[in-house]
Amino acid sequence: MDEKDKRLVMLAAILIPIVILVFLELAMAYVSFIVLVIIIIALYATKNANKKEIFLIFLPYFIFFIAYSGFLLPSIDIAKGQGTVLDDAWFEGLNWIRNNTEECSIVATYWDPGHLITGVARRAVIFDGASQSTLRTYVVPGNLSEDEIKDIAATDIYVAKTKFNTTLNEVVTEITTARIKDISTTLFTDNETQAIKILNRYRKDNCTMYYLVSGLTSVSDLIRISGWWSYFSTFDPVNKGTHYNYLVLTLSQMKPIVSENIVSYEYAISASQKFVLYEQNNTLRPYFQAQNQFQPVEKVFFFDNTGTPHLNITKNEAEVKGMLWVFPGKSALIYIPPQLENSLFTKLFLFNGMNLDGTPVKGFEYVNGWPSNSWFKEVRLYKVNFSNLTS
Amino acid sequence: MDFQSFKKYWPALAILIIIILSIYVRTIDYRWPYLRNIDSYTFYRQMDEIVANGGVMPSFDNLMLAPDGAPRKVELFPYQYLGAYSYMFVHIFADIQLWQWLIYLPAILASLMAIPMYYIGKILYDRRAGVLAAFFVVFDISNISRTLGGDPDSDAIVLLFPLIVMAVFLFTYKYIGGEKKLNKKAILFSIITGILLGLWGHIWVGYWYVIWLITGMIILKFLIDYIRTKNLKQEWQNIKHIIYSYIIMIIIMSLILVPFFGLSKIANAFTGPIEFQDIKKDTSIMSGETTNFPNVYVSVAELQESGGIKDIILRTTTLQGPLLFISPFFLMIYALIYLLYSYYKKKQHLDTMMLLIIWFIGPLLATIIAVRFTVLFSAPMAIGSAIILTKLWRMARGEDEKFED
Repeated sequence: MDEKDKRLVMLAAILIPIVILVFLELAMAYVSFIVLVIIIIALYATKNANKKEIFLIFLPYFIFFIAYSGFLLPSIDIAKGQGTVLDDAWFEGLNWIRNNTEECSIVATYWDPGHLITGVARRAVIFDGASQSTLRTYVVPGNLSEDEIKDIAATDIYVAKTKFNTTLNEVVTEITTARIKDISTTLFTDNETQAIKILNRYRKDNCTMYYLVSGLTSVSDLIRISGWWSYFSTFDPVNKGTHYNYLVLTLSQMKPIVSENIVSYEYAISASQKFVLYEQNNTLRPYFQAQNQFQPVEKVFFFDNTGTPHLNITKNEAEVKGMLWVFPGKSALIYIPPQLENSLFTKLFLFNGMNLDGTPVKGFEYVNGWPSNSWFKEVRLYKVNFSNLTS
Repeated sequence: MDFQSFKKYWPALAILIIIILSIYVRTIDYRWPYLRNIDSYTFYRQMDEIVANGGVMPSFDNLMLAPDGAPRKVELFPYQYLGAYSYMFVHIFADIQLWQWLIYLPAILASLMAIPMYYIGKILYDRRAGVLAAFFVVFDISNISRTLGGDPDSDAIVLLFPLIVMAVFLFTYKYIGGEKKLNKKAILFSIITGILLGLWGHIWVGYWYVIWLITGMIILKFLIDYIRTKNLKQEWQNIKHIIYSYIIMIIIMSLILVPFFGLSKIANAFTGPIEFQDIKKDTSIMSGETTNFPNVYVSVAELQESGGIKDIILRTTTLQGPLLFISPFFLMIYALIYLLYSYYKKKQHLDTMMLLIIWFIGPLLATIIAVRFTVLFSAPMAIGSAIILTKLWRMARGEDEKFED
């Protein structure tokens, strides 16, 4: 073989495995490597390549393999598969807010979607991803008593200062709170008056305030991050805060028990723990199963076959406190721990603005929810009514 | 083009192909009528306000911190102006909306990383290493997932700008090293580096890591040379021009930063890594004082601690099993071993070795504290991977005979 032929053979030896690598799935990449090894052995055995030349054939393949399999292909996969955080439901809702609310309106919610609300809906927010840790100083004319300050702050961590305000030309009391604790408390509290008092410190004269709750969405899943807003709400510098979490579980198994005319639905938490619902005569009995022990769960909320919602209080003395909130069709359920059962977020997001006794939550009027074409609204907007507070 | 011309210009052609391929990959299959992420919209709104306000960002933000709103900080906002003005320019030729332009902007900026990275690789090793490093950095998986089309968060510029700063700094450093004096050109290059450092300080709050890289490299060089010569006077003669250049850079940077941020910004450049630890405290710190209020940053996913070295390695590659040993992280380790050995045997590649060590250890420590800093690894991994592969190539071609060459 002359020098020119040898160069061509070596070039082919380099290119053939590379071409095979490009045209095969990554999982089959080893095929191209086997081809390379066969070529190398053949060239070496026939004395058409020495050790140095073998290295020269192997190295370009090696570099190409790293560049292609370690960098380019994963990049293409990421670019094709990454998707968006913003979704159609949010986009629809944000555009609705932009087109249907006054320009000076404030949308109160957790900080996660702040930039979206200001960026797409162009409405003011209490905080956002760039101002999560900011404080709010509320100025009240006069030298207030400790009780009056506590009533206005409506939260247990605040700093109050009395001073002479040269602009107003009078003595004022400045009450400073952390926005994160304020909004977290509005989500966590079971007392809507407390929530409205907190929100009152963020009001703008002659402008409407809206309260937005969302869940089971990638933008701001207040169900998933309930551990954090409950932590910030219950936070104090000594004991820190406590995380309370909802648990979202999908149906893992459905079994008819024909002899007893019962259907059982299982929602696995782990290999040894699950929630089990027994359906009989259009009603549900909820249990928590650990190994072979069955413990009744205190409450279950579900929709019957006609779509009518029901709240069954199984046993007040039930060993497992809290509530199971079951999706229609029983495809999934949410376990609500007792500490979150009466939270404002639970009432506004899971009970459409109703208390567990069926009465409406005072001060929060449902305005709209998205996606508009689905019964389950991932994003829900309420109008805050301060009239009870002022009266 | 004849073969001689190709030999001369092939890196330029390769970089151009890398840039085009990178833009294509980053914008592939974009199919949504909106931008990708939440933070994208803060930059979108600021750029939109610049466009709507005749090319100037309004000084007050009515929409944040309700009910009062907030005055905008007096800063240069280089990224926001770049986005707004590039849109106004593009809009002359194409009838597109701002959000549509912002599908392309991050992809373009991130792809441009190839240019400074090529020069860094070329300065630190050779042209082939530069081309490989350029490819590796633009297609690094941490980088790509943060700089996809339609995600005009600041990540693309935050990744691009330090590479520009480092490329210009290394050029200045090598120029002074070659001339062994601080002539007019050296002063000019130092001023340019200082200007870029100043602009960088306006772009990202974590700008201090580049200052630490530069400072660390100069200190390390001084120490290593001193240990070798044991002659302080001679060592000062060797390094004084670099120190003068460094002082010019810091002064120019300060002139750009101090009028906007005050002296604290300069102090922060050196204390940043220490203060950064405060983000994990339970209570928040306001104006340097601990408060009774909760610290929100404990809940921010990107600021959570990594799961140690193994977790960091797995975050930097998609390769699994035994292939992990040819992942960029390990290639960088091999490169460090090679550079250390080469310096030990032949007293060469000292600058490359020093820079790579600092560039590796800094992000490693930062990533252990918070996973979001994985992206800072991309540059040293790209350089390290490129150097070791180029080294092998040089050995295969007979350009280098021994490993230490």
